[in-house]
Amino acid sequence: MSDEFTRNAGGHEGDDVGEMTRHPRLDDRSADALFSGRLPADREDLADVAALAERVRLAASQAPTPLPNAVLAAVLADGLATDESDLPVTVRRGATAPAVRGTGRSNPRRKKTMLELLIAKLAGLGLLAKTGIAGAAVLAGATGAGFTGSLPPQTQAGFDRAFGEASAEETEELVELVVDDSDSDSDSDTTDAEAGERPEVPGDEGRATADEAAGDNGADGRATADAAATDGRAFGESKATEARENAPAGPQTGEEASTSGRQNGEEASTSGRHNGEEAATSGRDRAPEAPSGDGTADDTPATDAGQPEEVPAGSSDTGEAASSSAKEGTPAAGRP
Amino acid sequence: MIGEHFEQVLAAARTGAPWALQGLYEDLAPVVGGYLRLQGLREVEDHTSEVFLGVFRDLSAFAGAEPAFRSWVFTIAHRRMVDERRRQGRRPDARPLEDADQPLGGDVETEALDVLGGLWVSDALAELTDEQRQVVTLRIIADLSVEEVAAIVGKRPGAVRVLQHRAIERLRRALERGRITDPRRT
Repeated sequence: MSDEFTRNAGGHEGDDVGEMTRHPRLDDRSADALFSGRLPADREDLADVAALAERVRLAASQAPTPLPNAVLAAVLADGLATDESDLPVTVRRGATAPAVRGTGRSNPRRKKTMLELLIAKLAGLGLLAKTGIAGAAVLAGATGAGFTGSLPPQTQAGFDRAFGEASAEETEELVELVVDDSDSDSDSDTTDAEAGERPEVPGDEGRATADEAAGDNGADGRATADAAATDGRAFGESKATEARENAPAGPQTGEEASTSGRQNGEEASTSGRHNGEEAATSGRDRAPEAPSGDGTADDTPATDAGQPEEVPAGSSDTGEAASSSAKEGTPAAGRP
Repeated sequence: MIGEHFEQVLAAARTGAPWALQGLYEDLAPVVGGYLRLQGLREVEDHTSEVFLGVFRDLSAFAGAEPAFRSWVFTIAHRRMVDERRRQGRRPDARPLEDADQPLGGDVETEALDVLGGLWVSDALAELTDEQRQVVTLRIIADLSVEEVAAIVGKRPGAVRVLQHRAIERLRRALERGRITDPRRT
């Protein structure tokens, strides 16, 4: 029996020192102050604890940003595909993030890695990163969805606009072409010879039309160029409208994108008209030596003459860049 | 804290904008990493990355202001920590907040104090039970309220208050007895 009493006894008096509390429990306000590194009123005995809390808080705030793993680094560099777009959001050119307070010490190793990754991505993407149409084409090539209307509305509209005349086979060629272009990053430096090898795209159709125009003494060149210019302006304006519609959360940024798109369209229009006039002149000059219907896309003069008809493609580029900018301007609309 | 721009950053992050995701990561990753490190997790950078991948994936499911977002992120971090420790199947050893392989900058004395400070923090928190340490670090590092901590650790607010009170008493006694010494006071 005595063993039972011993086993169940509370022990010697005062043996709970160090286990039970000897001070009144802190109320929430005092606890908040203590964990913030401030000494609660009438609790000088907690000065060391407050100092410790301050040290923990300081150490945490000054800790370097952890280096992201490969997957997260890619997400931080490229963005995250969302349900709304189903497309990877590319890094907007010239975009700057808002100042974020309280990030603590920067991590040079991480920043270097992020920068390298970002540069590599941008360099690798090439044309893809510059035109939403190309991105849509790649996606369509990968999923076969481009012509089925399964792309997001704004992307689908741009896709339809740019490739509406192409067949499925041509689309595959386009996808390959775009990927090749993005690999070589020569979208803006295409040589005449390369241009001659390109499959038929709206610009190449224009080139063929321009050949005919050259064959016809350039009489129709100006008219074709004017049509191309009008087309470019209309496309730019449609993209501007889309940009405005797609930026409900940020009317200011949407307006900027709209203005940018309209300007791009008008620039493309002007450029197209200018190039068209040059082509018309060129066609007129070459008329005696260019037999009707003989001009091919591989002929250097034909390539030159094709410049005005590349305006729609060019305008698509600038207009789509504006569209892409505007699309990415949707999140940027909220950018402070 | 991101502050007044938080809603805009969050809205942009929901659309997948890289700059917004980077902003959220830069803001919270250091403290999330610090929390995981003080709970004794190894490979903190990997775990922090996984936490934020989960956060970014589920952004569309979140609604609320910045304090709620902070609490939500730490909920994900805490769950990951619990899972990882369950996997490790052993009591964690708290580690300094500062990584030994990170360049600290400044003069040698400052660097030494930083490292000692980190060890001091680790030594102090090693005095606590796992639950006490979780509560204290969430209160201090994550700057969360009792109610928010309670929701994260799956306890009632009253239980969290008891845990934090006992933790404070333990720390106070350890500091009084000189078992933990602040290197900046010596």
